[in-house]
Amino acid sequence: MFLKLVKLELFKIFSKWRTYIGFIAIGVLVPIIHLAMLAEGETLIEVSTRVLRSSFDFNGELINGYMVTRIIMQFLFINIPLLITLVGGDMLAGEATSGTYRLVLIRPISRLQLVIAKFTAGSIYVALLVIWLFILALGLGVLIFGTGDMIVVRYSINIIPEADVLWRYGISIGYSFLSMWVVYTISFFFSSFVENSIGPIITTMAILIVLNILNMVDIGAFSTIQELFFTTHMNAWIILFDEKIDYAAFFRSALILIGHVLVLSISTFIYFNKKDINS
Amino acid sequence: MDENIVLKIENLEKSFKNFKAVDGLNIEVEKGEIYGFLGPNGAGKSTTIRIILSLLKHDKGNVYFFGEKFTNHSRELFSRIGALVEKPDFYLYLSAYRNLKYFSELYGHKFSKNKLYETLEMVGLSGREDDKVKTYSLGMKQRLGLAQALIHDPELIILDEPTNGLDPQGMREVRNLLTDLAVNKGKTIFLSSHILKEVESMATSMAIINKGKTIVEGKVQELLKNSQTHIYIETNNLPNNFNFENNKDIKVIKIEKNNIELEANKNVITSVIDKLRSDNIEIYSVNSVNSLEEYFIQLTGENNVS
Repeated sequence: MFLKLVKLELFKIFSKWRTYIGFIAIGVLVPIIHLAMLAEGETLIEVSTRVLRSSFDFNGELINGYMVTRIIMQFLFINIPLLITLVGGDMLAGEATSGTYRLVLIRPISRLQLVIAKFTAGSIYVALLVIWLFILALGLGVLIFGTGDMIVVRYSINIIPEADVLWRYGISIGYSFLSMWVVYTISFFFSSFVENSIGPIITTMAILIVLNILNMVDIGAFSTIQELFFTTHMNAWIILFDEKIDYAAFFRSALILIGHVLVLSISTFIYFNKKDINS
Repeated sequence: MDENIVLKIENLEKSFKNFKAVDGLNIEVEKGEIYGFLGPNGAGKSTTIRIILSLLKHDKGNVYFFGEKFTNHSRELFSRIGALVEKPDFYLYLSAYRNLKYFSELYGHKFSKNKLYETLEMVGLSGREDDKVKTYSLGMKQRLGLAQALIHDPELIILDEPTNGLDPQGMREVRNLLTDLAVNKGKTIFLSSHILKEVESMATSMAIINKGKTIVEGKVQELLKNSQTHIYIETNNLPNNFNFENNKDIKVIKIEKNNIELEANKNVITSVIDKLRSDNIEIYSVNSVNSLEEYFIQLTGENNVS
């Protein structure tokens, strides 16, 4: 029955037009960035490697599909959370707004089953959105710019051999999903308290903005607290593209994100199971 | 517990902060009955229905379905119950057919396309099944609400204002459908309604509640028998000083030139007629009205009639 519920929830998610806003936005933005990279990519690389060019000789094609994909990911990971809250914030509150809990919860399914099914279906949506981003970014990138060794300009210049690129992207897809899953879980959590989806969407966005601002505060004593912000760890997939991966840092970030998901989702399940349905 | 009792509510209590919405409510609904659940606005009807259907958590008391105590672990019982709570709300972006399919699949098995279309036809929605619900009127949504309550052939049907929003023809159709379900198919119907005539014409048993408490419960005809009757008498010109003094069993509502309106038990009609005849007053007509509305007013107070 649980799988049936998940399927029914997915059917509802994909029957709403707001679900496609994220897919359409990515579908439009990614090719635009590709085209921009095609036109201005060389200049961009030249600017970002200007300091290093004084010490090193750069020969051959630096831009390829792998490199462009990483740049796109960094660009879009600031905005994708906003698209995810549109769906996450509506998952429970939307049902209250439409008054349909009165019809859904009088069937032989438990509230716990329903709320977990909703959470699962929404999580599948998040996963599909992340996969869509990767398919489009990497597929189009490889098609337009080709493949090769991947150059990563971070604290230093890392050259990742072509054979090592795809598995790193494979793990980073999983990690990106985890980052977006936290955002989804926050909006899902707030969605359980109210009867209108605007509140959870705005609240989640506000939290993202506030924490991102706080992340920029560079005070020594503050760094302990910053370590606990999920926003601090959302981009930890970048570690995967260092020449020598700091697995300890990577897994610590992943665990902090998983902790957020667990605490918030379990709190939502418990609260939803006990709350009065007044809508 | 008696399995013939399809729904039993025992000492039910529910408070919202300092307001006690349901205060020790007791109700028993027998199999095959159409049970009218009446009460003025704010009496606790909808709260009670929401508690029965586990939408609201109650503070005290128990709910039994088919002789079995309802807990969160006995939700399977809901596969034997169909319900429509308050106004009918659906997924506006889906068609009536898709909505019905969705709600029917929550019972864990698939209903055939034919069954879905037959149910929609039964409630008078044929021809509009594939239109999105956002294009529906309140009356059409009400019909769809009935369809989702009936799709799985439930034994107990709980309906909150089922004719709300329907035109007179639609109201009659729904009443006939519900009567048919109870009389010919043995379904039990628990019906909350503000339309007293509706309950009076359909219900076999009823409860009137006020301030969260059961004021009276029993068979409709039995209860109405004990209620006061309004007696309307049409006469020729009455003498100016005419009255029914010294008769404590009669409450005079009004005495006009040719009309008398009294409130009394039916058994005083003969003595009233005798009195009029002894005063040489001609009687053109005598009507007695023993309605649920009168009874309802007696029990809950005139201001509460809706």
